[in-house]
Amino acid sequence: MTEQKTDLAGAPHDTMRDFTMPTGLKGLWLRVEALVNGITGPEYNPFHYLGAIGIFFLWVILISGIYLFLFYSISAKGAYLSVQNLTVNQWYLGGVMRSLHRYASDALVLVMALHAMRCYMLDRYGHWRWLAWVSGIGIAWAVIAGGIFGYWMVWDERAKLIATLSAHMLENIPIFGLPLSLNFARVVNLTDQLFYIILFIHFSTIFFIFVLILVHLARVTMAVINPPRALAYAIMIALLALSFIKPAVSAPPAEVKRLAESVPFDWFYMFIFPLLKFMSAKELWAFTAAVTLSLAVVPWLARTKRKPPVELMLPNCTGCELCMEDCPYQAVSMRKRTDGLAYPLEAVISPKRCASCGICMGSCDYKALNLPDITEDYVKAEIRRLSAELKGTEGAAKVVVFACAKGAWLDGLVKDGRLEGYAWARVISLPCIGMLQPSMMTIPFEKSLAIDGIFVASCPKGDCHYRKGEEWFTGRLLGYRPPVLRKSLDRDRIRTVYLSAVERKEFFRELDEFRKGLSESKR
Amino acid sequence: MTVILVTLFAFLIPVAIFLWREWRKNKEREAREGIVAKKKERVSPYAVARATIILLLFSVPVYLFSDISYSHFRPEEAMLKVAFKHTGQRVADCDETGLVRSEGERYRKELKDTRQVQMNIEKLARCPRERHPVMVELFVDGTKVLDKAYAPTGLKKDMASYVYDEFMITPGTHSVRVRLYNNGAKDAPAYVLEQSSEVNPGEVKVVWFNDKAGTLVLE
Repeated sequence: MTEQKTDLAGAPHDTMRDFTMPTGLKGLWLRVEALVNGITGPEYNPFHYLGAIGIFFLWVILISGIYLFLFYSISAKGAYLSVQNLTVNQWYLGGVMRSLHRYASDALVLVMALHAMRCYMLDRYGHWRWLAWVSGIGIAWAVIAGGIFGYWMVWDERAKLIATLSAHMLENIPIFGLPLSLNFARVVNLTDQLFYIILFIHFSTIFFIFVLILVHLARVTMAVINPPRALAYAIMIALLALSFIKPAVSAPPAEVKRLAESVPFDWFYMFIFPLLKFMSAKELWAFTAAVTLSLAVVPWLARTKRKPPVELMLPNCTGCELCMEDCPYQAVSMRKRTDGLAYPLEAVISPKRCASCGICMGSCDYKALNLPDITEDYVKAEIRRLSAELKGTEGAAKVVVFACAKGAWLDGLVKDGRLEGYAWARVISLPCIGMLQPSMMTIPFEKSLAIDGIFVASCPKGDCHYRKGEEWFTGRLLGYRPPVLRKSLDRDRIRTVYLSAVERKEFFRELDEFRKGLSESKR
Repeated sequence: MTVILVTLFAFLIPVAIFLWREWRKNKEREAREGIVAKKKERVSPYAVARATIILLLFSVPVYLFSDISYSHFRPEEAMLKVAFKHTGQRVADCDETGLVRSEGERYRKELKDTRQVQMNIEKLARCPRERHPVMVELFVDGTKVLDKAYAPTGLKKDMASYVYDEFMITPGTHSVRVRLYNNGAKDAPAYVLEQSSEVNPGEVKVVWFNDKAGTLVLE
């Protein structure tokens, strides 16, 4: 789009960052999301809430699990019967709770996998996001381990198989002293104490998951931990539908004197065990560790050069806290004033957490924050230059376009702010639409420039690459999030569209429609 | 049950307190800053219906992969396990009970005579408690399939050895010979089992040690 340009001092203005046109699988992923957007609308697109949906599943698992626990007999002899009794004799509640417990657990693994794949596809795992990525892997393993132990508790043939296989794996860890498999060798070896331990482990995983989620969200401002209510209702409907269509049932009771024959296998949790057919337990541990480690180092392997962090001009800072509230990664904090000015607070930047998105610049009306490679002065000068250039052209309605670099992909179509085939439009691209200050939007409407309209091409709602950028921009535009756009500006001359990188056609269609509307109103 | 409930609530109560404090803090901040509480999000049935369609599509893999049949073992396989707990003999003879008794008597006597006496703990501690590993040899149809030493457990290696190994065998009649050595040498086995057994497909046979009878058993 606006390719790298240099100002008079020769510093590059990298408004496109290192973003590239999403092709192949990445493009396909975005197209699927755009398709789902068309059905649910971006506000309720499940792809935008995968993390929150995962937490919602955890709540379903916790509540249904507590209910199941009330009827569970913690004993070798009673475990199977108690679960079976609940499933058969109390199918309308206990059976449904069991199904909800199982399907929410399965769906949790599915959304975790989708969440990780989405982060990978959309390049949301590097630099300032490494902690969330690594802790996410920890959460995944904690969930899978908890699920496996949960299956032990039913003590049916499936439980027997995974208990023996997982016991075999556990006793191959050098620090694990006693052969756990001894417990399953004979009926008399199977003690109630073992079931207490398994129950305790199963319960305690929720504690580890809770702690890991706290770490996962540690550097995220205003993390979305609850899906919208409409989505929550839809999840419950889908889970209940599954529970009634295919109620969760047990396999035949475990019989230790026989090898487990064909058992119903939950592949979301037990995918690891079939590998024991091809490798020893020690090799499987090594393989698992290698896969985990390979996944954990992805943020460092695929690292690109980091953009310079935002800089603070302390004399301009009024300590208003808006930048701190808007920063999506807690890279801005406040402290007591150190320069003797009359304001109680001043902002402090944490460069390691800074994503160089410029959202804090968008929230600052006092020129206190600047990205070294895209300064506020530069952006404003560009708006003036392109608006002035546009003023000199002929034609009816003239439009200044503010485009998010992660929104509709215009690379190759824009040269020096000019959009190919659109002489009446000029494009100013920004790394994130959240960087767009309300004061920047007033420039094209100044009397000396007299541009007819502003077209803002943001990334899809709820899917800002840097988090929150499009939400904060909308808030500023609609006047509920400071700094707000001047009331006197005619909102009919401003159009905002929320499009992903693969929605180029929609961009031009919307732009044409907007211009047409402006031309008609001018007449 | 009670212990687990207490543990569960010990976790849930701090979480609930944390969430409640956060909620209160938020309310106070809203009151302080004069923020009008957000109106409750209105749920459109159409939005729910549309989201449900998508989520039902997500449910398809859950429906399909939650219980696909899997056979880890072939139907014609059977298993022989060697599984028991057994205590090896002491590495060095040391009558710990007798030592405690004699030391106690000395203590009482000297206390009576001199009123100045110390229990010789070192002397007691020197009594070695370490045990030999349990060595097991297993022959199936005359072929040795297991020859392994199982180390005693415990920090001082003074506790029982846990023996566990499993072997896939073919169904049919098999002669099983087990030799157990517990004195650190393989000169003469402490226990021997020799038995022929019919093994059915899918069956699990276990060699275990009957402590009461003091014999190895094939079950």
